[in-house]
This record gives sequence, C-alpha cells and structure tokens, in this order.
Amino acid sequence: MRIYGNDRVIKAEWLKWLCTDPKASAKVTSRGIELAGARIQGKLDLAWVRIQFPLRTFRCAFANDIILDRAAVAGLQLQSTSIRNLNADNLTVERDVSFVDGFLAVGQVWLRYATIKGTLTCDGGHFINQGGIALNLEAAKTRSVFMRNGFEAQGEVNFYSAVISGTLECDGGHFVNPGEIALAWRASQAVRFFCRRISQRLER
Amino acid sequence: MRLVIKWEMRWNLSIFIGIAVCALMPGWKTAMAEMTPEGDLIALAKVRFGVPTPEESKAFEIFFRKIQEGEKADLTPELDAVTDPRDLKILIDPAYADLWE
Repeated sequence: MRIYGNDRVIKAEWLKWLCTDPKASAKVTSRGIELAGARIQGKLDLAWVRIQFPLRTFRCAFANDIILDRAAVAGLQLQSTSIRNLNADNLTVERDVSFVDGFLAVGQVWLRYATIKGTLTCDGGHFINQGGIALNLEAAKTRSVFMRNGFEAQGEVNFYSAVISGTLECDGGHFVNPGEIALAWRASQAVRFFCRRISQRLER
Repeated sequence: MRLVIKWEMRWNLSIFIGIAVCALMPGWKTAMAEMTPEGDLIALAKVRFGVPTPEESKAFEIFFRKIQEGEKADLTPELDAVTDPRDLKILIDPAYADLWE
C-alpha cells in the first residue's frame, strides 16, 4: 500500500532509547517527544524509567502495548491516538494526562495506584474493553478528572479507592457495560462530582 | 648580543602563542563537539541502531532531527494532492494505521 506511506513507522525501540540513554535524553528539549501521523511499531516498554520530558502524540497509532508500570514522566498526552493496552500501574506524572479528541484504546488502560499531579482529561476518548475493565484507576491519586464531550467507555471504569482532589466531571460521557457495573466508585473521594447521562448501572 | 635578544623575543612569542592556545582550547573543544557527529542526535542514533534502511530512513531522519530541535515530528504525508475523501481518511485516521506501513 505504497500510496498510504510506508515511511511513517517509528520503532518503539527508538522512543525507548531516547527515554533511557543519558546521551540521547540530554539531546531532547524541554518540549519532549512530540509525534504526529506515525505508526509506532513494537511494544513500548518504559517500566521503571524516569522520563524528564513529556510524551505527546497526535493522530498516531501504537500497534502494540505501552508499558509504563512504575515509571515517572513529566506529562502524557495521547490526542486522537489509538492504542491497545496501556499498563501504567504506579505511574507518576508530574503534570497532566490526556486521552482526548478521538483517543481510542482497544484493550485495558490500567493506571492503578498512579499519581497524576495535574488533571486527567479523557474528553472525547474511547475506552473499549467489553466484558472487562476498560479504565482502571483503582487507588489512583489525581486532581480533577474529566470524562465529557463524547467520552465513551465500553467496559468497567473503576475508581475504587481513588482520590480526586478536584472535580470528577462526566457530563455527556457514556459508560456502557451491559449487565455489569459501568462505573465503580466505592470508597473513592472527590471534592465535586458532576455526572449525567450514564448508561447502564452506576455503583456509588 | 643581538642574537640573544632575537632568541628571547622568539621564545616569548612562543610562550604567548602557547598561552593563547590553552585559553582558547575549552571553547574550541565545545564548539567542535557540537559540530561533530557525537553532538548530533541522528548520528548518535545511527551509532546505536545502525544506518536505517531506505524504507525507514525518512522517518528516522525526521524523528530524531525534529526531537532535537524541540519540534513536532510530523510524519503525516502531503495531503494537498489527495482528492478522494476515502484516501484522505485513511491517511489521517489512526484507525487505518495498518495501511501506513
């Protein structure tokens, strides 16, 4: 399929090298890694890596899983980007996390015990993992969480024991998990809570 | 006598040149480090991954150059000549990324 471009593939190992090799990392500016229109090939395993700069993608596709377990990153923005699984338990993010504007995860997005020092924005994001947990924020700590304007989860969104020091806003979001819990909220804390138009069952 | 003075002057000149070279050396070294391949992210990447294949060369160069420059590495192809809306969608929508390789 030459017409669609076979020169848009970025290897996951290139990204990993930029994040892990001291000489390479030193060449990355404070703007971090900003990538558009690329297909990222290969599993991106950044577990336990401390990344001093933000990771941002726009209209990209991750062909394989992203691993950020116990990693630390300055910021994470996946805009209009499609991914498979994102395993990011115990991830620490110094600023914001964004899964927005047509972001699509087909698989699980796990952020258990994650610490997000900014906001978690999922406006217009789609989290698809039917019959399982689509977005797992168990015991995560964050400021505000936004799941508005076309947000869709097919599968459970789990906030069990999560601590939100700002607002949880879900207006216009769709939580779909037929016959199962769509939004698990037990033992969580949030200063403010705005949620309407939730499909299926809401546990609170 | 004249010969001794000439020799001393030459000696002093040599010392002066030596001191000047030593003083300029650190700055010169830094400048050279920036100009040599070791100071360039693409060159470092080629040392690490080898020379990219013709297929991956364009993405390789754009990616590492733009990252070093602090800019967005945009691999979206030129869209001006695309007239078919279906082709346009395939080119920009990550849902069709399987066709991008």
